[in-house]
Amino acid sequence: MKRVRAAFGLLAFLAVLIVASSILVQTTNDALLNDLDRIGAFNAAGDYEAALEVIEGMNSFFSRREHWMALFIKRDYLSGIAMCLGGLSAYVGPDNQQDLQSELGKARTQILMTGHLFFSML
Amino acid sequence: MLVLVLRTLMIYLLIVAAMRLMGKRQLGELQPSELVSTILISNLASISIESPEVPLAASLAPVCLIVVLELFSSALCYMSPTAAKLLSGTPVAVIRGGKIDQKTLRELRFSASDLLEALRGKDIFDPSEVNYALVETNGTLSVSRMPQKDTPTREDMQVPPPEARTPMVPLVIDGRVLADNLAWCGRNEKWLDKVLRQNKCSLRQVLLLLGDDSGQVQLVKKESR
Repeated sequence: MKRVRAAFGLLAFLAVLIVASSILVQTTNDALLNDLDRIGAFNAAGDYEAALEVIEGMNSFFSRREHWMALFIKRDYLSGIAMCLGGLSAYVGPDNQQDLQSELGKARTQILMTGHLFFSML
Repeated sequence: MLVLVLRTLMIYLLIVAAMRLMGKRQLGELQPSELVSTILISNLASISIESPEVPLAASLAPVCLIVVLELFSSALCYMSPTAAKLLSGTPVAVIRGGKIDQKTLRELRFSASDLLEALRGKDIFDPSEVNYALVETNGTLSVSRMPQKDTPTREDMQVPPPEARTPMVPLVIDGRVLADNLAWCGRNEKWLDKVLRQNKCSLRQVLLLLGDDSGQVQLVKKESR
């Protein structure tokens, strides 16, 4: 019966792992999507400095979370998100307003796809 | 490369721990559910070693879950005969009173040559010598011979049993004392020292020392290099 107790211990470990990874991925995705919305709004309003500030904060937030996310999500998907987010600052400015909106859309799709891959059953 | 080595090391330790946790049954003849879990675990382990881009948790979590399922299913089989029957099946008799049950053989998709091969593995070359043979749930054949063909025992022959009640067990292997075996034979380190002195050798010179509870010993010294 010692082994059955060990099985319960493993089950508890798995439950903690599932909850922790779900919270990590969900909160990271929510924060990134929220930031993308804010960047879009600042871009539309012509407040490029604020947009740059949010992009910078978002990149540093993602680089902190990326290591933890790599425990649960394939590195390819994470580097895809990192590349999308890293290139956003190059489009901030009055001449690239449309381009930035398009890049924001791409980043949003990448984040949503990662979330979908992590949470969906099928 | 270092990451690959570390990942392999971690997966190796995880699988060793998993197999250890699942018990010795996993290492011998496998029941159907045990075979499934062993195959799955080996595949999951290789994915994580081969593909560094795949997170370690992608192997770790499924391996842990398979171990949990295996432990729970074996506990369930232990507690409920119905569950055991459902998960592992039941032993099936293929020979009764020297007569092969051909219908059962067909159901098991066991050919006559398969049966003869299994019987030869038990040193039986004639099925009519078998009183009762069962195909166990792990696929092995258990055989009971006809009484007239069975090996007689000391009791049958009215031969008195040997003085020793324990078999010859190793007491020292490669200079290392096996304290449990020594105690089982009712001996202690003092007795061992005496035996070694009588044989004019030290503990480090012993390759193998066998003994039983009657005091009979067999000593094999290490050959000098």
